[in-house]
Amino acid sequence: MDRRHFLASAAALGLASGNVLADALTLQRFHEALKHDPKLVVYADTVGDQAGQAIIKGRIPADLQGVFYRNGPGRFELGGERYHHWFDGDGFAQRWQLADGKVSHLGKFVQTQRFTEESAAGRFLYPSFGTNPGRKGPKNNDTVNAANTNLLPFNGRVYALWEGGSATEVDPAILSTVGIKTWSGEMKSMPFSAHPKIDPDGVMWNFGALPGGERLALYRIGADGQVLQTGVVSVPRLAMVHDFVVSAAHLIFLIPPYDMVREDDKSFAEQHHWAGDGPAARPMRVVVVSKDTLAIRQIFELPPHLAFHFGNAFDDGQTTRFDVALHEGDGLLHLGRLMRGERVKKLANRGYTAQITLDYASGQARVARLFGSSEFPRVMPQVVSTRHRKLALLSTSNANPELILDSVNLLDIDSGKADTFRFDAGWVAEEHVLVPRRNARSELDGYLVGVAQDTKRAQTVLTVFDAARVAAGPVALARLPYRAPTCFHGNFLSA
Amino acid sequence: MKRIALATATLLIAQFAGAADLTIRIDDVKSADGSVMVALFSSAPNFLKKPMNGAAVQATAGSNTVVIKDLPEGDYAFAVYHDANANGKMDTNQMGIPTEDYAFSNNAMGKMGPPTFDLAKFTVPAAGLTTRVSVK
Repeated sequence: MDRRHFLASAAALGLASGNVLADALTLQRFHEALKHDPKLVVYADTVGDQAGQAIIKGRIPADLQGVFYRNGPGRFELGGERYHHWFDGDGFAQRWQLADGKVSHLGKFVQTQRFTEESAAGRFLYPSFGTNPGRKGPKNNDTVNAANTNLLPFNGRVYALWEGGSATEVDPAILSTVGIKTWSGEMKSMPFSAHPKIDPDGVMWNFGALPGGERLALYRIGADGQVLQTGVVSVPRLAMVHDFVVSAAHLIFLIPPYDMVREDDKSFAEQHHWAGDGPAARPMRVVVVSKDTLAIRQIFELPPHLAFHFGNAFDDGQTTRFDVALHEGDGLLHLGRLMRGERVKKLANRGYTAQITLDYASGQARVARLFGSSEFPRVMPQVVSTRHRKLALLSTSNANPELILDSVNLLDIDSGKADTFRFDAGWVAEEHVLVPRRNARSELDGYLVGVAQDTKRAQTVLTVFDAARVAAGPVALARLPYRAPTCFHGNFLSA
Repeated sequence: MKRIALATATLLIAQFAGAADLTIRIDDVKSADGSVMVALFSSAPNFLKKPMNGAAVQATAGSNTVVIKDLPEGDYAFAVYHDANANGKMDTNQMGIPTEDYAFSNNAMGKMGPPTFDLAKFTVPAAGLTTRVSVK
């Protein structure tokens, strides 16, 4: 057994020991805060599976039929303890079926090894992103796979995605867990990001990275599920790389300036040390990989930012342009406070969505501001990797004193104009995705479909907007008689 | 007096030359491919570096038994892995993550990576010992 190698990979996974325990105090604080701030319910724990019919207000368009697959962390509490970070919770897979004007919902916990073992033990055992119960050491990354970040329909199957380990296959109809997906022998137990991109020809591109590591693994998987090509590029000082973006010829990664410092008494999240401030601030790196060789073509530098999510990229002569939601400073720790029921302060300069232009000849990367502080960028699936003009985004309206995503926007990236709808007070919006009509003629020829939480009634609502008229408000709302866990990401599979 | 000396010598031989057998039952082996490999260590400095003994058996799906004979009584720890592709090594993927099933004695795991010798340590008495681990 190669101990050095094992240790290096374990360190990269942040499988550190220590006293960053899931604890009763975090649970107590959250529940106390929840009494005074009902909007915190979106971070509340969920127990058991869910199934129900939605009550529809308005009309589900006749040509919008299919299944909206979504995923997010559902279990945060066990044995009287509560996780410290939103990213820690166990994956709760959800499917919203839209058929003949009716909407039904199903939600099930992904039966990962971690979920199964910890359920049987009645308490948290394994380390997660921001919490380390310190009760059991994992044998590999998939031992602690949370399967909690995205739900991807692909090639007739459905995958619950995490980022530090394998995809987990679930049944498309009943969401029962099939098991860990190993695409090929060499991809066994490899990190597989929750943000694969599907080219218009149906080919899936994805990557895997371990923070603190020095390798980005690259995967090209055919529409039939066969692995077409894999590769590894060396990128020193990798921190959390959550998403990437693809153009016709390139795969593009942003590496935020974090130093990964192994400290056994700290959680994985806390081992990320922001290195983007002060005189020794490091830049954010842009790593451009050529699709045809899977080798690095060029590396650019940008001012230090944190980025989770991208919109789309397209090549334009000797440049590539892409959009990305940028955040100022160390955003990872802020998210942790929510678990204790502490709200993050709303600051005007917290970040913005940018279009970045990479100029291969000059080696310069230019940043242009597209939109204010925002998140969850998505584009129409048919424009992925080619020239796009519309970008769906969530944001916080200026009128809202709190940092709560209350608005959904469809932004024209050329004019900068946004078509915006703001939900009522007490509503919290989740990711909205663009769904084209069959043979869509433009990026407005379709629907914007998402979910929002009505925290006053503790009910979850599916939303349908006409992509061409977002400000006019939803054409349909499908309300569940219960609250479903808040999701990170999802995808609509048209019937 | 001579008889007592002989008896004492016999006892001493039994104690120090020893004939303690260590029987290791390895559960949850996924397939009958390749071998189940055991490396035995007798001290912390040598743990996972320099085995003092080793054994291998043709793998059987489910439970496998390996016997290491004639051990001096004392403290030991072992590492076991299922060399399913019979290439003679514990495979890892491109990120260095183990891709073959493994375990340490006491089913010990470190909080990050392999356990220490102390966590994996067990005592083999003169009468021998049967122990079991799971490679799941």
